[in-house]
Amino acid sequence: MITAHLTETEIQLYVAEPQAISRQLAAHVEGCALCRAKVDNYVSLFKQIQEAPKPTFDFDLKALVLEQLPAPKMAFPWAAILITALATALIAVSAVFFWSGIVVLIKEVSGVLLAVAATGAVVIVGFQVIELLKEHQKRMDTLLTQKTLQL
Amino acid sequence: MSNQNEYSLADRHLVTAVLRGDHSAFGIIIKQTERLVAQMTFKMISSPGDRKDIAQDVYLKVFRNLPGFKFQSKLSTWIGQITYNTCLNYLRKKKLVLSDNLGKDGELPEDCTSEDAENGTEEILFGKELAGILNSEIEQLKPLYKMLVSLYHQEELSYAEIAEITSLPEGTVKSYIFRARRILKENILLKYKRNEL
Repeated sequence: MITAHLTETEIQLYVAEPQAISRQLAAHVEGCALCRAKVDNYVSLFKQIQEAPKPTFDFDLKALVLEQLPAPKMAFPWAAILITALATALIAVSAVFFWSGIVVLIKEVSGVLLAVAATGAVVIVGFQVIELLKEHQKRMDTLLTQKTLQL
Repeated sequence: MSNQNEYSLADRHLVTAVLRGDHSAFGIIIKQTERLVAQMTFKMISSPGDRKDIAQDVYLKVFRNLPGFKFQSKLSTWIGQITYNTCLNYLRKKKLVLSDNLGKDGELPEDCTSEDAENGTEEILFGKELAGILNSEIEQLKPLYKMLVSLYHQEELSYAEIAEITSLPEGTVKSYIFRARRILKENILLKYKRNEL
């Protein structure tokens, strides 16, 4: 067995990273009261540092920062405007070409059928809005509950 | 999926949301990293008023620089780097000492033979008494030592993560932490003896 005492660095390694210590040194610690006492002190010290209260800010940092952020710049919705313009043009062209047919169709189709079609369209749009809201809520919940950035 | 990928994915979600103008996503980032920022500023900055300014400054810098974040590290590590540099600049401006006389970099500290070792004795540190004096003794350490010890033991960061935050070589980080703990232990033992006399 090694008779020389472990250095302070070796003692710390023995406590923090026991795998980094050779068997001979570990055997010395087992049989040496002085080194054992030093090990116990470091074990105690590490434990107390770990359990020491962690500092926290006594103000609402999030609120303070968020109120200083610049308002988000809304990007001009070029794509949406382009699609809307194309759709409007398509509808207008169709209306011009098929105007006589549309007039006949409106005259022949009963009011009940029109009401059913309109209700159907409203219900479909309603369901889509609900789905979108649910999906948004789900994503926000995932971000809030994940321990994503905790160390 | 590995933890790193999960972190990266979550970081990407949050950063993308912030860049789209979602301030509530930035609020989530603040809540999730506030503890690390508090730990670092409390250890490096002694004035409570300045800590408040620095913490706000850190997150405003994070917000401004977020478009340039390349996901080459965890978002929290990057925020840690910004916090460290902001504290460092503050200490430099105030001409306060951060890391002089900390000894040779990158080497584990040389072991001096203490009186006790020569005598073949070592006082035993007891939990309750130790807890009582530990905080004040930690406060006596140099700011960098305080911060490194806290990041390693309280925030449970690896040497590599701490090295990334502080831009110090990993060996230097390890050496400083070893030295800080030895100073801490020796100071506490000295206090024990004084109390006993």
